[in-house]
Order: sequence, then C-alpha cells, then structure tokens
Amino acid sequence: MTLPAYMLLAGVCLLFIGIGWERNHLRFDGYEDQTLLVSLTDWWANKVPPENLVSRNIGEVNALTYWSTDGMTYVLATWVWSGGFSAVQLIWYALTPLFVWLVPLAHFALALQVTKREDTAAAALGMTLILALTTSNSISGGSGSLALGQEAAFQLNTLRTFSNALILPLALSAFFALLRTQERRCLVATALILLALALVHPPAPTSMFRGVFSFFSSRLHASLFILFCFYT
Amino acid sequence: MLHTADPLAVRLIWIATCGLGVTIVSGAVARLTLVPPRYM
Repeated sequence: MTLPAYMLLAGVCLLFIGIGWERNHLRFDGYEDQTLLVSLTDWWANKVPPENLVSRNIGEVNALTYWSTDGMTYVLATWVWSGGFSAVQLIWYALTPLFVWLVPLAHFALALQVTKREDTAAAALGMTLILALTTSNSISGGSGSLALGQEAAFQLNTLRTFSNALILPLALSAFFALLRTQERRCLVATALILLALALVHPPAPTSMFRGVFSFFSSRLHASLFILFCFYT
Repeated sequence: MLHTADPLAVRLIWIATCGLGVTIVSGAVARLTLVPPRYM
C-alpha cells in the first residue's frame, strides 16, 4: 500500500538532485546574494581586513545588523577553512547538489504531519515538483524577495533560499508535530529550528513571525497549499 | 518525537531538523563568542 508512495518519494528526491544540479548552471533571482555570501565566507575563512571588503561595506551602508549573528555563514566559513577549497566552489557549485534532496523530504514530512497519510504526502510531493517546475522566476536583479519561484525548491546557495526552501518546511513540520502531539520534545525542536530560521535569514527577530507569512508569499508554496486543500 | 510509528523518511527529517538547528545556532554562538569585536 505504502510502497508506491515511497517509490514516488525516492523518485522525486532523485529528480530534485538532477534538476538542482542542472539549475545550478543558471542564476535566477538571488544571484547577488550568492556573491555577498561568497565574499563574507571568504572573509571569515581568510581574515581579510574589513575595510577592504566590498560586501562588508554594503552591509554597513544598508545596516544589515543581522550579519553579526549569522551562524550559517560562520559554519560555511569553517567548512571552507578546514577543507581548503574556495567559497565559490562550495557555495556556487556544491551546496545545492549536496542538500537539495532534503527539500522534498521536508515537504513530505510536513504533509505527513498535517494529514497522517503517506499516499497524500507523496502526492503533495508530486505537486511540489510540477508546480516548482512551472513557476517562473524573476531575472537576476529584478523584483522581489516576496515573489519566489523555482529557487524556493531547487536552489540552496544563499541564506534566503536555504531559509525558504529547506528550513521553513522543517520548522512548519516540527510546528505541526507539536500541535498534534503536544510533547515537550517537539516544543524544544520547534524552538530550536525557529531560532535557526531567525538566525539564517532574518531582518531581526521578527522573522519568527514572518515564517508562515513568507511561506504563503512564495508563489510555489501558496499554489501548492491551494492544490493541497483541494486534494485533501 | 521519534515515534516508532514514524516512517524512516520522517525520522530522517527529525534528525535533519535538530542537526541543522544545532549547527546554525552553535555557529551563531561561536561567532558571537569567539570572534574579536572589531571583526563583527
């Protein structure tokens, strides 16, 4: 009964890896964020003097104070420093193929927490894949962090895409598990992942409350949710 | 949290959730405590 559902899950995970690898050669919205992330990671890993760092100056001009508590860039810099490869190699080329298969798993867990039906969750994954493929993107430098397209599914190389594509479904999955079971361990996991979400892409602590909002402001997630309601 | 009834995929997601959370939060703590203020 559940075997076809898990075959679909495995197939979608493989497709996400393939599409993520292929999309890795294109640069949609968020291109500029990748250059900033690479620059900051290189800065942390190699201790470049701050006054020579363009992205650092951009951060100061725009008062991006959350860079001071950005744990993820620090982790990536540690990885670059200990591994001896360049931040470009890691962020532009390696991160997406390494982690993109977790995105459908996160959506599967989220749908399963809501419905407790494995076949429905697997069908929701198929919808995620099709909708993600048919959702258009803004071109790089065009409008809008509030209108996310394919990068909300297949791209994991900026702080924003990490938070939208991966950490947000994980946080909502933990949150729905907490609502369902009301266990203290679920509360701890929810608090932990919400804090991580706030630390990765947040203009300030308000991102804790922006989680659900940014989920529905994504074209992909909003259309998925509507279809999901019809389906269930 | 790790119910035995949960399928393997969901258990994997729980591990990913907690692992990612611990990694990012500890990265932020390390950055705030280990780095000299002039590099913040």
